[in-house]
Amino acid sequence: MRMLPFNFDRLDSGSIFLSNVAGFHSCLDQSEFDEFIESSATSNRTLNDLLQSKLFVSDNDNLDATQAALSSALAKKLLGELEFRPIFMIVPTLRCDHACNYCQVSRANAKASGYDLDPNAISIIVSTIKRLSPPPYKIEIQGGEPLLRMDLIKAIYDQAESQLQPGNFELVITTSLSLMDESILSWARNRAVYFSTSLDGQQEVHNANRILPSQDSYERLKHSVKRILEELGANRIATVTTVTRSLLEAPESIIEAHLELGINEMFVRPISPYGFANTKPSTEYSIAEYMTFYEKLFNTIIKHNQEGIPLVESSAAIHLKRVLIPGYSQYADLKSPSGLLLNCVLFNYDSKVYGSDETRMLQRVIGDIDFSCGEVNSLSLVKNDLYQKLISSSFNLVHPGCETCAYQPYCGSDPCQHISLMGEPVGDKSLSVFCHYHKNMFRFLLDRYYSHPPTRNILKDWCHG
Amino acid sequence: MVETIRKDVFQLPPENPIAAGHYLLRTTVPDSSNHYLNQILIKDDVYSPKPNSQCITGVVRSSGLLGNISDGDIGVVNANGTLRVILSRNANHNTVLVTERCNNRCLFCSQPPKERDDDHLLVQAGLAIAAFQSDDIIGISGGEPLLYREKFLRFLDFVILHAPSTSLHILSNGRAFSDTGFASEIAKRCQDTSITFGIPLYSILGSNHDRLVGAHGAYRDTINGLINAGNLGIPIELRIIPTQQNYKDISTIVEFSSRCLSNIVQVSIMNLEPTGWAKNSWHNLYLSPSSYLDDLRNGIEAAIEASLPVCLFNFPLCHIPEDLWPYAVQSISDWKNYYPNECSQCQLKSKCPGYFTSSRGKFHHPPRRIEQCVNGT
Amino acid sequence: MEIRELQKSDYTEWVIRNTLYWLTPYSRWQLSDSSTHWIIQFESPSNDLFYELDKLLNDYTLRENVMEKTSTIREAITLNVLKSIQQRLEA
Repeated sequence: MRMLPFNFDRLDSGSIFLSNVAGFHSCLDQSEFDEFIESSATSNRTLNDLLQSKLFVSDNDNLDATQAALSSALAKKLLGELEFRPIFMIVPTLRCDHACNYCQVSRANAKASGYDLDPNAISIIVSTIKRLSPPPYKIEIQGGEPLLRMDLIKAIYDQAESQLQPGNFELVITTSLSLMDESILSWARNRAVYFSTSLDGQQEVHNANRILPSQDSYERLKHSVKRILEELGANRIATVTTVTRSLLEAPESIIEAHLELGINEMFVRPISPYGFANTKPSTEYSIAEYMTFYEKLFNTIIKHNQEGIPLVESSAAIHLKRVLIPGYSQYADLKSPSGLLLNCVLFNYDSKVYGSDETRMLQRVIGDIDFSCGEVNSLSLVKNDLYQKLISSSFNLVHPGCETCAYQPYCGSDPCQHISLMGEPVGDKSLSVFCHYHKNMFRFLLDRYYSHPPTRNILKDWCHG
Repeated sequence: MVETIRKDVFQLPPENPIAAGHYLLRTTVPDSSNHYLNQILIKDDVYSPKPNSQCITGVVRSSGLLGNISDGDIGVVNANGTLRVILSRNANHNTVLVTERCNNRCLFCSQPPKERDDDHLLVQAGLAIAAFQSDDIIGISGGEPLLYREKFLRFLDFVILHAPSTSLHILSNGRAFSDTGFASEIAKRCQDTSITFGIPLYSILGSNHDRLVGAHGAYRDTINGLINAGNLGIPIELRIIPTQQNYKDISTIVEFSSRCLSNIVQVSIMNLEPTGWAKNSWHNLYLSPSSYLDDLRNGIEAAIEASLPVCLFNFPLCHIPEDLWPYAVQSISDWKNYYPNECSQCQLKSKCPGYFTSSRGKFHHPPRRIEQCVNGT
Repeated sequence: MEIRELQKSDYTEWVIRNTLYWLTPYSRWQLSDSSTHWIIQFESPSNDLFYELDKLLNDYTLRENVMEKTSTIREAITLNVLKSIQQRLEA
C-alpha cells in the first residue's frame, strides 16, 4: 500500500481530521492515526477500505489511476472555483439615515448631496449585467440606505424586467428597514423582490449599534419584519448579524431577537476586521473570544432544535457545505481563488465598478490606489491589472500556512482583508483574522459533526435545507 | 410460460420460408425500397395474394406477429424459422447487440461473452438502425462494444450520417477510453449526435472492482477511461450494481464520481438481474435491498448532495421503502419484464418496475404487501 | 526572554520554520543555529507558548514524515493537474 498526500488537524474530541487535495476527508482516532502514519494502514479493515476509497492510500497496482483521479479532482475543483458566476450589486445611494458607530460601508449623511446614482446610468448598468453573464441573475441593492431612493430601486427593477426578462432575475434589497412602508410592500408583492436586513440583537443591543436620531431602529425593524412576514412570506426576508462586543456577552440575545421577530434562520459572523469597520478599540475582540461566544450560541441553537424549534445558523451551514458537498462554491467569501470579481460585480453610485463590496470600501480608505475596473461606460475587467494580481495571489493551495492546513480545500482567501491589515494580499496566516476565524469554525463544527450524532443530524438538515 | 409485457420472438409459419437475415417489417405495402435492409410484408392469416411490389422480398402470414409489431420494426429471421423483433416502435427500450466479445468477465454478466470474431454484428446493427429511422434512443450493448475500436468509430459515423435523429446509449466498461486518442475520437462524435455511455464502476477499491469484473487491470483502465471521457466532454451514465461484495461501496463510488469525474449525467444503481452468469453464483452475489438500505440511502444522499441525478433500476417498489420510491424507475426492457399474479391487485403496479422474467423459480423474491396500496387490506 | 535549544538531529529546518510560523501570535522569536542545535529566542515566554511549541513540533514532524512518503506522488499530481485542465479546456 502507498500513502497519498494529505493534511491533518486535531479536533477537540481527540479525533484527527484528514483531508486531501481532491476534497475527501476522514476522521481517525489517535491510535488509528498513529498506525496509519507508521504503516499506511490501520488495524481496522473497514477503515482501511474507506481510506483507500477516499484516496488517502492506494494499492500499488492502481497507483497511477489513483494519482490521475487526485489530479482530475483538483483540476475540476480549481476550474469550478474559477468560474465567473457573479452576484451583481448596485449602490443607488451612499446616504444613510443611520449613523452606526461601526458602519461596515462608508456612508454619507442622509441630507448630503452628490452621493446618489445618476438615473440615466441604470439602463447601462442593466445592459452590462446582461452582457456579463447568462441568467439567472441575482441583483443586490446595497447602500447607504437604499430605501432613501426607492425611485431608483423601482427603475432598476423595471429595467431588469425589460432587459433581463421576468423570471430570470431576483432583486435583494439590503436595508435597515427603517424606511419601509406599505407602498413598498405592495410594490414588492408580485415582484421577485427580497429583503436582507441587519439584526444585531434584541432592542438594547441593536439600538446601541444601529443609531438613528429617533433611537428606535429596533422597533422600526420589528414592525417592518412583521409586515413582510404577514404580507410577503418568510422566504422574502433574511437577516445578517454582525457580532459586536455588546452581543459577545449575550449570545442568547440574538436568538431571542430572531424568535421575537418570527425568523428561524440567522446568519451570524464576526465584525469585519477591515480598518474602516471598527474605528474604536472598544469594538475589537479576538477570534478566541468570538469562538467562545459562538460555541454558546451554537449550543443554544442546537438545544432549541432538539426541543422542536428549527433554528438554522447559516455560517455553520456554509462552512460544512464546503466540506461535505463536492463543488459547493456559491459563497463568495469562502472560496479560493477569492470570489473577488469572479463572484461579485459592484456598480457604485458614482458609476465606478468594483469587484466586491470590500474593494469599494478599501477605495474610500486607500485613496491613492485605483481599486475599480473603471466606470460603467468604459468597463474593462482586465484594464486594471490589480484584480488579476489579487485573484492570482488568492490561490490558498500554495500559500505558506495553508499548504499544510487540513481545511485548505474548503477554505477561502481574502486578499483585500490582508491588504487592509498587512499591506499585502497573501498575509501572514498566523496573524490573519480570516485564517483564525475560518480555521476555528471548521475545527469546531467538524468536531461537533463527528463527535455528536444528534447534532450531526441537525447540521445535515442545515446543509440540505 | 410467463406473460412478458411485450412478446418478441415468433415462430414463422412453415410455408413460404424466409431466408435468414435482418429485415424491415412492413404492415403496409411500401412504395419505395429501403436500401438498408430487405423488407417483408406481415399479413394476417386470411389468404391474400402477394402484392405486386418490387420492394417486398417476402410475405409472412401470421396474425400473432402482425398484432405485435408496427410498420417499420426490424426483425431477425434465424435459420430455424423464428423471427425476433430487435427494434420495435412499441418497445419501451430498444437495444442492439453489436458484439459478444468482451475483455471483462463480470461474475454477473447477463450476456456471457464468446471469443469468436463477430464484427459483422456492427455492420448489421448500423444497417438495422439506419433502416429503423427512429428519433428515439437506441441502446447499444455487448460484449464490449468498444473492443472493435476503429470499426466502432465507423459504425458511429454510419449511424450519424444515416440515422441523424437517433440518439445512442452505449453500454461499455469504459476501458477503451484509457487510450486518450481513442477517447478524443469518440468525443468528437458526441458533438454530432446525442450519445451517452453507460459505464459501470463497482468499487473504488481496485481489487474489488477487478474481482467483480473478473479481469486484473480493469479498474485501472476504467478509472483512467472515466477520467478521460469526462474531461473530454463525453456524457456518462455511471452504473453501480450492488452485490454482497460491494454494497458498502455505493456512497464512496458516488463521492468519487462527484469529486474526481466530470460529465456524469446520471448515477444508476441497479438491482442484480438473475440471468447469464449471475445465476451460477447468485447466492454469493445477490443481496436483498432490505439488507443494505442504509448503504443505498447514503449513496442516494451523496448523489443528491453533489447534484448528480440518481436512479434506482430494477427494484420492485415493494422491495424498497417508500422514501426511495421517487428514485425507482421503470427500467426493465419489456420483452423480459413481467408482474407476478400477486401484483394484479397492487395500485402501484403502473408505477412499478416489476420483475425480470428470469427471476422466476429459485431466483424469485416474491412481492410483498404494501399495506396502504393493496386493495382490500 | 527565554531560549530553547533543539537538536538538529531531532528536527529539520522545515519543521522548525513551519512551527515558528504559527508562534508569532504568542511571542516574538528569533532563530539562530550552531552546528548541532537550533537556537530559538522567545521574547515573551508563556505556558501557552511552550504548549503550542511542543504540539507544533510534533505535528510538523508527522507532516514531514507524510511529505517524505508522498513527495513523488505530490509532484505527479501537480503535473497531471495541468494536463487535466488542458484536456477540459480543449473539450
